[in-house]
Amino acid sequence: METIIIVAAIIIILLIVIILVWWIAAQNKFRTTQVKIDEASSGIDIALTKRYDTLTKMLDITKSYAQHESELIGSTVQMRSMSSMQERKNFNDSINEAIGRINAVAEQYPILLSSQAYKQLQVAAYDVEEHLQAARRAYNANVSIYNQMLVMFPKSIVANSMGLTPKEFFEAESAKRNDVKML
Amino acid sequence: MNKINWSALSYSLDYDTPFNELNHSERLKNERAAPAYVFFNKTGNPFLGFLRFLKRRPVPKKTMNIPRVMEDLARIKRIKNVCATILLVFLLCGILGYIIHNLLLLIISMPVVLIVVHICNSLVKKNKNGYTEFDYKDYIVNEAVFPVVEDVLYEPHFGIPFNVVMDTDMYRDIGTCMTSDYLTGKYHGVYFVQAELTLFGDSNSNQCFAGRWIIIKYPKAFSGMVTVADKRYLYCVKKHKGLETVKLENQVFNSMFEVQSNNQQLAYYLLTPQVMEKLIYIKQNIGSNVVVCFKHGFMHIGINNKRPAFEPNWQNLDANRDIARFRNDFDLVSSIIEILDIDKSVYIQ
Repeated sequence: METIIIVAAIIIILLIVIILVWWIAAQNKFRTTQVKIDEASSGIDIALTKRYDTLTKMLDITKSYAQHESELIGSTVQMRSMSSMQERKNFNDSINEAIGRINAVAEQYPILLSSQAYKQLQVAAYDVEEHLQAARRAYNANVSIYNQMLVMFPKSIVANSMGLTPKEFFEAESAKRNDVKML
Repeated sequence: MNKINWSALSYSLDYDTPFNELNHSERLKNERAAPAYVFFNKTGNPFLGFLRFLKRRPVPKKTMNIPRVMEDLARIKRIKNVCATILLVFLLCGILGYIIHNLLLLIISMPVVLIVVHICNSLVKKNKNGYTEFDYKDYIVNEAVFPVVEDVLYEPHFGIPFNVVMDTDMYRDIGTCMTSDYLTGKYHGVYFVQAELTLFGDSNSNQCFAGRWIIIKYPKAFSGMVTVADKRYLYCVKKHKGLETVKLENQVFNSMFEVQSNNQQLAYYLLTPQVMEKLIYIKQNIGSNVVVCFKHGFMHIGINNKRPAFEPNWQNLDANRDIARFRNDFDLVSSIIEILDIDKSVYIQ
C-alpha cells in the first residue's frame, strides 16, 4: 500500500513539474513573441518617421515653386505620437495622400520634376516605403503567430492567466486595397 | 568568423606585371591566401576586382569567322580522336603484353603514351592564329547576351574565387573547389557575375555543390546577413549560432526553405513575396537545390543542378542552337534580377 502511495506521489509530483515547466515555457513563448511584435512595431515607427522626414524635405523643395499648395499640404500632415496601430495606419494614409498631392503639384513644374534633389527624394521615399512594407509584414506575421497562440487550447489558459489580449494588425493602406478590383 | 572591413576596400596591385597564366598552382595558392574582399572592385563593376587581383589584362577580341571556327574545331576534334585511338591501342598493347609476357612491355608502352600526349598537345596548339574551343564559347556567350547585357566579360579559364564562396559561410566542411566560366556584366543597370562551381568536402571528397554560382550587386543598401537554404540540402549547410530562424508569411516557402537572419525585418525586406515565388519556381522547375545568401551588399545564389551551363555539345556543334541554349540558360539570371525588383531606374544612379 505504501509503495503505491509513494509511486502515486512521485507521478503527481512529476506531472506537476512537467506542467510547471510547460507553463513557464508557454509564458516565455508569449513574452518572446511580444518582444518580437514590439521590435517590428518600432520598425514601423522608424519607417513612418523617415517617411515624414522625406515628406517634409519634399515640401521644402516644392515650396520654392508652389508656396501656397505646399503649405496647404503640410498643414494636413503633422507628426504625432502613435499609440495604436490604427493611429499609425491613419498617419501613414495621410502621408501617402500628401506625397500623392506633392507629385501632382510637381508635375505642373517640369524644372522641379527634373531636379536632382527632387529625384533623390523620390528614391528615398520609395526606399522608405519598402522598409515600411517589410516592417509591416514582419509585424503582421508576429501578430498572427501571437493571436493564434492566444486562442489555441491549452495555451489560451496561460494567456488568460497573463491577461493577454489579441493584437491588432497593421493593415495595408485603404488606397492600395482599393487598387485590387476584379472586373 | 573573421571580421572584414568591407567599407575600406583599398587593395591595390601593380598592373604593370602581367599575370603568368601558366602557373596555375601558384595562382590558386595566392587566391586561397587572399581575403574575400580583395576580389571586389570598389567602383564600377565590383566583380572585375578578381581579374585585377590576377593582374589580368583584357584579352583583345578575335574577329570571329564562324566557318573557320568550325573548321578549326573539327581539326582539333580529328587530332584528339586520332591521338585517343593511338593511346588506346598502346595502352591495350601494354596491358596485353603484361598479361601475356611481363611488366616490361607495359613499362615500354608508357613513354610512348606520354610522347603521343605531347604530340597531340603540340598539334592542337600548332596553329596559334587558329580558333580554339574557348574562342567558340566566348563567341557563343557574347552573341547570346550581347543584346541585353552591357560590358560583357567572359573568362572561361577563371571562376569565382574559393574564398568569396567561403565568405558566405553557408557551407560546412568544404575543402576544395573547381570553378570556371567567369561571366560578368551589367543587366538592367545591375552588375552580376556567374560561374560554374563544384565544391568538394574537406574530410571526404564528396561533392557538396555542382552547378551555377551567381552573385548580384544589390543596389539597395543593407547591412546584416540573411541566408536561405533548401530544407533537403541542410546536411551541407552550416547552422549559424548567431542567426535566428525566420518564418515568413508564405507557408509553401517555409516548407521548402529555412531562412536564417540576424535581423527579422531585414529578412522581410530582402525576401519580398516575388523573391519567394521565384525561389519556389527555381526549386520546382529547375529541380535543384538552391542556396541564397545576402551579405556585404551582395546576393549570392547557388543553383545546385549538377549541370554545366556553358558546355556546348562538342560532338555536334551548331552555333545558332548553342546561342539559343545559352540565352535560355541566361534567362535565369535576368529573371532573378527582374523579379528582385532591383532594376528600377530610381536606384540606378
